[in-house]
Amino acid sequence: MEIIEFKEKALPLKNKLFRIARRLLNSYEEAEDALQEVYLKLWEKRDSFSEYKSIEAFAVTMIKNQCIDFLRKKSRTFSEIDEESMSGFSINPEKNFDNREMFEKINNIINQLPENQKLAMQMRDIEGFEIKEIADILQTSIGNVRVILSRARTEVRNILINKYKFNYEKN
Amino acid sequence: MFNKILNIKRLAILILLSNFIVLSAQTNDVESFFKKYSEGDGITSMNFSPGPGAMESAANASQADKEVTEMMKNIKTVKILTSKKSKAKVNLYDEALKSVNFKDWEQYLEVKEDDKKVKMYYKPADNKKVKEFLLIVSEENESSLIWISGLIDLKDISKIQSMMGKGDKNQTKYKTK
Amino acid sequence: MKKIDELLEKYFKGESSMEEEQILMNLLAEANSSDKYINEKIMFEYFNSEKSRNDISDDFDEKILKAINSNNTIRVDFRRKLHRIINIAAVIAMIIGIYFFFPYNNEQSAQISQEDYKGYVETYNALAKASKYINQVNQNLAKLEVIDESLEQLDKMSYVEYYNNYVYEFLGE
Repeated sequence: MEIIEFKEKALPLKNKLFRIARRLLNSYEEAEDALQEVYLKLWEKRDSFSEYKSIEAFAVTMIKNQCIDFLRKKSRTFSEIDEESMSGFSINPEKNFDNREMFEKINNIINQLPENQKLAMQMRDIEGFEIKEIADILQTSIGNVRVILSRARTEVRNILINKYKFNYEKN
Repeated sequence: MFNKILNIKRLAILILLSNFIVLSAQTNDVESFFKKYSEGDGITSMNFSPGPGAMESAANASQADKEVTEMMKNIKTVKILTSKKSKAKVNLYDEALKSVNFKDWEQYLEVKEDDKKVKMYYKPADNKKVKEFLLIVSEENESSLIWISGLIDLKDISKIQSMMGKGDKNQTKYKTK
Repeated sequence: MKKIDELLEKYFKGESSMEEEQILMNLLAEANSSDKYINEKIMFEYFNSEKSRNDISDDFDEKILKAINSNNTIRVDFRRKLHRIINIAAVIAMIIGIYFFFPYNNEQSAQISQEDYKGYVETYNALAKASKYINQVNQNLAKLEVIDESLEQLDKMSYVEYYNNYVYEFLGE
């Protein structure tokens, strides 16, 4: 496969893969490093792309494994917050300017979920993967993915209700 | 009869001399390389050969570990030649590859990374020891040669390296680039 | 209102479909900010905002293409069955550092001339630089997990693999 074809097939996935890496690693810099490594591995395997049903699923599996390996080596707990990425947090400025603070809080809540919960939530609620696809990538059953999503979503809501007792003022 | 004796003597001297020349030639190509290139614009030449007594004293004074003391006692010479590419007309890396007889050396490591090139050679001695190391480095702005001679025990180096490494927390950290 | 409750219940059980989640999102967007669904509303707004977040560095593509195109190599001699690259430069640099700080001669007092001082510093710096490069090789090899592998496997390898745009070759054939 030539570079041009690789560019067209693999590079468009970068934003999605980056968001997933960042969710898992909680660090901008490390997520980009992981992404670079994954892209080089994808390049190595470019000639077997046609064997895969979905390059996207294949790439997501790779970024997941890359991040998990990295986290294991570093022996970090998933509740560690990276100060650097905290200060760099930015939201799409065009949307919902007033909600920025709340979004930051939600971001933190999700980052502190167990690994598979935050990954499932990222993949479904943000990246829009089908349950079946998520099950393949997490190497588990569809039923289990639903359980994981349920736990993640419920936990996020509970923390919002209890910890932040969030109430909008009437305009 | 007189002539015969003289001839034998001459022959003996010649043989002795040629042995000496052959022996010297073994380290001579690196030594002469250093001699040849040590003068010149943009070239820095350094020679470190303090002698085992001085080294041992320093090691004892610093209360270094015994592997370090052993190593220090056994280092004979360290010679370094550096050339700034902008100022000097020679690239030491390229010149070394041309002039040094690498048949006498064993290659240990070779790296080529973007603009950077590093080669490491060694000459083995008995008992897992090394009598010489040669490093040649070429990077964007400069090239250098590092020559280390002595009787170096690799086990000691490995131990020392571990001790040095323990202080670095970020060893497995991912780097950007 | 009932519709929202139904969908939310499904959603929090992990049983909603993509279409249902889309409907839910639209309904919540229309809901009043002071409603009881405020927490769910803000959750979905957050997800929406994250979907379009593209803040990877601008030159990422460039970096990847550059890495793919380069032909960097590392060749290592493992014949001596060493577990990692001997960083002789680092060790010598340290030794020179020690000597520099504790120079002592039986007869003379511990005095270093200005010239010697300069010489030691430059020697140390040159060694430190070389040491840095060798250390990077060790780190690359550690990432490849070569250093942890059994050496019998290594002996069989001549050409290993691309990893982080290096070609690794192990000498000793």
